[in-house]
Amino acid sequence: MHEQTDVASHVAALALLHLDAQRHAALAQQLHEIVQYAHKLYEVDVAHVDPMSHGVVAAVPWRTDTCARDTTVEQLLHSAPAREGTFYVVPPVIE
Amino acid sequence: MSRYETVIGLEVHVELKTQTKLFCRCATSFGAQPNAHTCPVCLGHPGALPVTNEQAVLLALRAALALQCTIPPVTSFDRKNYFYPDSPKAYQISQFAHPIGRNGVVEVAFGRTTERIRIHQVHLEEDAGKLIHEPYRSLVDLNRAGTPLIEIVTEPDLRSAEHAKMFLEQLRDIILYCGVSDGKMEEGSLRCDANVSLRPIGATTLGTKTEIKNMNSFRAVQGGIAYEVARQTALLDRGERVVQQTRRWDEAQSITIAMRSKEQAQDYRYFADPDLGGIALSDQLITQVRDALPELPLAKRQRYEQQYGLSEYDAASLTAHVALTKLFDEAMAHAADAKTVANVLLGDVCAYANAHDAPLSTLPITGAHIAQLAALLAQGTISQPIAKKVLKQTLQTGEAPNDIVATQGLTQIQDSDAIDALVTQVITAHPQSVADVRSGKTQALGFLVGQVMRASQGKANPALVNELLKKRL
Repeated sequence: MHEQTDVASHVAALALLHLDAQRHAALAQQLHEIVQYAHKLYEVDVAHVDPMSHGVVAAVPWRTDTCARDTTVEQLLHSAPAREGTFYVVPPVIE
Repeated sequence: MSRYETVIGLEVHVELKTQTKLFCRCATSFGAQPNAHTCPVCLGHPGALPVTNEQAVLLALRAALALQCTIPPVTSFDRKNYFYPDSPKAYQISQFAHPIGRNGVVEVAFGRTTERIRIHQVHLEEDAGKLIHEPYRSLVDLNRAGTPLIEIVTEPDLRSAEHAKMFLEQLRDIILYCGVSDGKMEEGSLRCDANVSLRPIGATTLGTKTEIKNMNSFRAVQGGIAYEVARQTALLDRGERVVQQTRRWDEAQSITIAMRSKEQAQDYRYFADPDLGGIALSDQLITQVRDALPELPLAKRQRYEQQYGLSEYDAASLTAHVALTKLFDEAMAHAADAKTVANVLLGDVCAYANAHDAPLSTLPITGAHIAQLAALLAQGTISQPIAKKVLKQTLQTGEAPNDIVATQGLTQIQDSDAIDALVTQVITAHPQSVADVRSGKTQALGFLVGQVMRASQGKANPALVNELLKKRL
């Protein structure tokens, strides 16, 4: 559980979410349960089973390489937390 | 003599030449207003679903086949998870479990020897957006986010910085020949990271590697790797160990700088993308794409040497540019003289393109034009100076050399009497030069030949002019 508290803090920091202590504890508990369930799944031997992501393999539609627009830049930027011209503005990130 | 063997593997990102992004209909063109080429799919809006661009898959398949990879019956996409503002979905759609090609090989010419550099895999993925860092904020432009790329990963088969550069140049040529990408390193459509390690000569296990990023030119690839080899050699010579880390090439200082160590490396938690099913690559499709592959640069270069007797230098120079080989092959289809065609292309045509800063493919000249010019020269119909004049006009206007020669009456004067009359005029007009030649100053003969050529407006046969002048002096 303690480990999940740390993970919850780390993910919250990465996602720039500010969680109060009560919310943080609730999310850490949920995360703990999810991880426990995942650990339960580890018990299944899948060493010789290919990963499966879909019920139907190789039946996906493709599309042709032609441009089309359904939305304007303004519509898309409407949900931007902050903007400068048509740039999105985010807190400084330097790798 | 170093006590160590250098071991290099490259990861090369190649932007595919498509009109639209990998999973949405946004344009991939360069230089638009920030975020003008975005939509709910490439911005990762909830509920927006990706649909794969057929052309991107076909180009990736073409590249994988050109690199002699084994193609799986089904290829699929995986999510590579990471948090960074250049990736609005917080994951990149890439290929992990079932890449489009594995176990390929590239035949690379290092001078006179040819070596096989193995390709570990080729996979398809989407590019990230672009960030502009300011002191207290970062600006995000997602026009490039979702642009299709292939990543070509080599086995650690390269043994020097120079070879790595030569390999990359020849890989770029293959990509260009196949029409998979425009391969412009300066615009970021070809990018390269290098994994470099050293091991004692004779050892079979690999040493600790460092990864070098941010090498944006062929020169940078060579410089970055050479620096890293020297840095690691110095460490090992001092009895220290190489730390596994990612380093950045700093072009201005010509050094590599540590970015992050292995301990800080991210776990990308790859998993199959549930929004995208697998793509079946039938034998019929693979055969169709393989059969449509063009002759690749090294094979073409060897053919030019063997079939046409061109020198290694001429063959290499011609095959270094797709547009040049296209013109050469077109000209040779008209049974032209190979050496003359090579000389015209590598000499005056390239010089004209360079002087006018014009890509060869935009010039109005065709292979048939070059063949005509070569034939006019071989038959003695026009002289070299006239050939230059005709070629210049063809390059400017696209007029055929045969038409230019006919309409402007540029046919070479072969008539001895006509040339002799011009020789007489020149001898009379330049008594001092005549005296110089007679007193043994042979340079003056060149001057007199030039005067006769000038009097004939370049049309006299220069060999005949020489002969007649010598006879009279």
